[in-house]
Order: sequence, then structure tokens, then C-alpha cells
Amino acid sequence: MTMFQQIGLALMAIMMAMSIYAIVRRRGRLRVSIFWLLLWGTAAAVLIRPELAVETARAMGIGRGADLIFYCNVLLTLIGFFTIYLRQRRIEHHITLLVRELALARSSNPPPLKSIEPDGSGESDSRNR
Amino acid sequence: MGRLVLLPLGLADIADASIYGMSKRETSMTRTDDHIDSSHAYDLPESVRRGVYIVIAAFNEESTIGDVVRGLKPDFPHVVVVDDGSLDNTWVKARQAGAETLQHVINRGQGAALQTGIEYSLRQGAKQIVTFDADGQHSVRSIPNLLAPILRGRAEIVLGSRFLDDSGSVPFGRRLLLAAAVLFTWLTSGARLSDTHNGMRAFSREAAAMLDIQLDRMAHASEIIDQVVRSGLAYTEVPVQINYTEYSRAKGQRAAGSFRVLFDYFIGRLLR
Repeated sequence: MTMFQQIGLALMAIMMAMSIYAIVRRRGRLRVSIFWLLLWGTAAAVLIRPELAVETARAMGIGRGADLIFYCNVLLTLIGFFTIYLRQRRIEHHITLLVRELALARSSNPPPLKSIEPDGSGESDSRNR
Repeated sequence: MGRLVLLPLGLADIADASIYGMSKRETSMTRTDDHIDSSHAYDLPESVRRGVYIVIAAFNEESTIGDVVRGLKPDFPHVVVVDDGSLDNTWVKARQAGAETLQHVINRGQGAALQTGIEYSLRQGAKQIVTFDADGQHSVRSIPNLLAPILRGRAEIVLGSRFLDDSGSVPFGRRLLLAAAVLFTWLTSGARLSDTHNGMRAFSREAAAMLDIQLDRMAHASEIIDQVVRSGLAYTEVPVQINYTEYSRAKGQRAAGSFRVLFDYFIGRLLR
């Protein structure tokens, strides 16, 4: 076993242990933890038997194992970005709800009128920029 | 489309208390025949006008908002301006003009501002809610036309259309973009409308309470139509006048912005 495989396997073992811990202790969402466990497991399997990637790639009509791993990587990165984007949208929506509640709460007792000068000074008291 | 029967909205019609109870639910689109002659536009009795809340979402509109509010106030006592985190004196000008003002401390988009104004109006006891643009392109004279189907109990939601009457004043580029939006709306929601992105709309209290605009930015126009269709409440279109000025055209949506709107809309649907 090469040094790369040894280090890689050690890392995968740590990651898998963390995923199993999360599943057993019910930390986070179960299906997310299972997804990570499967991902690290697959990575460990490919580290132990690199031919696995080549065989799977050939079976799928992709020439090289490295290409298969590259494509999977791109796909997972995109899914990751999308997940982050969805989370950001959720946060944005929550900000809107807060801003709305603040506007409604202040509607009965609005802050004093104060014009904004062209140089940006003299902002209304209600602003906090 | 042929010019439809002009029925002035009579005082007796509106004074009839049962009119609010007449909201027959229809799931199909009812083609408008509620266009009333603008000469009768101000026949709306005081009691009706007091129940109407005009909601205006405004972002950096200090040059127009004062005039827009002053144009509405003599006829409609409740003009609600939601200043959507403007960096200018929109909020001050709106208040000085006599509007009931709400302020988003940071910019959240037109959809978000409209929802805030609608929630405020409902809490204040609005009987009907009209959404109106802040850039001066809408005419106060269109409001009674817009309210007529609701007051007669024929619809719960009335959408303004710039194409039902005379679309001659709509710039060509804009007409093209709006035609694409009409087709898109038909494909996605099944609603056959002539103008899907008109900021002038009227809602009965019941319809406004059903509305829950989640898409903060410009995709809210399509979202509103989706919600209207899904609600099963009767809706209709009436012709409204749009005054295109250099200012309003500069503030309007660009064709390039449509992609962002489309993306927002589809993601919004996906997550619903």
C-alpha cells in the first residue's frame, strides 16, 4: 500500500467515523449523514482498489477512472453550490420577514422626518447603515 | 377585442350593502365587461373610498412619489407607501404628501414591499386593496375601473391591462417583452391574460388575505398570478392607462433582467 493510500484511508476512516457518530447520535439530518457515509465509503473503496474506478468508468462508457472521478467531483460541487444557494434564499426570506415586521411595528410610531442630504449625511433616525 | 358595454358604476349599486356578499366564486377566467366610462370614475361614494387602500412600493422615487400621492389623496384617503430602503428622500416626500408610510430598513424588492403594504392595509381594516406604481405611470382615473368588478361582486381580483383598450402608446420593445411574459404565464399557470406584468391590481379583502408573496423581487408578478389561479377566486382584467415617460421607462424592467426573473420564478416554484 502506497503512502498516498495510507494517508487517504486514514482520512476516510476519520470522516466515516464522524458520519457514523452523527447517525448514531442523531446529529443533523439522517439522509445527509448517510450520503456522506456512502461518499467516504466509496472513496475508501477506490483508494484500496483503484481498478474499481476504471472498471466502473468503462462500464459507464467513460474511458478513464480519473475522468469518472472528475465528473463526479464536478457534479457534487454543483450540487453543493445549489444547496448553499437554497440556504441563502431561505435566509434572505427570513430577513424579509424581519424587515416587514419591523416596518409594521414602526408604522404606528414612525421616526421623525429628517431629509437625507445629497452627501449622504442627515439620514433619517430609522436607518442604521 | 371589441369595446364592451359601458356601465357606469351607479351609486345605488355600491350603496347596496349586499354587494360585498355577492362574491360568487368562479374558477374560470371571466372576460371583462366591467369597463366603466372614466367620466363616472368619481361616482364612488365616500364610504367605499374610505375602505380602499392604495399600496405603493417605492424605491428611490423621491422625484415622483410626492406627486403620485397628492394625485391619489383627494379621492382615496388611504394611500400606503412602502419605502423599500430607498437611499433618497422617498420616505420623507411620501409622508409630507400625506401618505401612510412604512419603511423597509433595507431594500427587499418590490414583491416584498407590496406584501408589507398589503399586510398593513389588512391590519388597518381595508375592504379593497389596489397596488399602484410609484413612478407616475399609472392614472388615478383607472382605479374605479379596477374596483368595479369587485364592488359588483363579479371578481375578487382585478388585474390591470394596458392591452385591452388601446395599446398604441406601449413602446414596441416593451410590447414584445410583455407578449413573451403573457405566453410564459399561459404556459406556466394556465391563465390567459393580456397583460401579466401590470403593477395595477385590485384585490378584495378576502383575496388580499390569501396572497402570500414569497418572491421578493420582480418575479412576484408571475407569482401573484399563480396564487390567484390556484386560489380559485374569480379574477378578471380591465383596461388601464399607462403613461410611459422617460423616467418610468428608465425605471422599468430591462429585457436582460428577465432571465433573473425567470430563474427566481422557477426556483420559487421548485421550493413551494
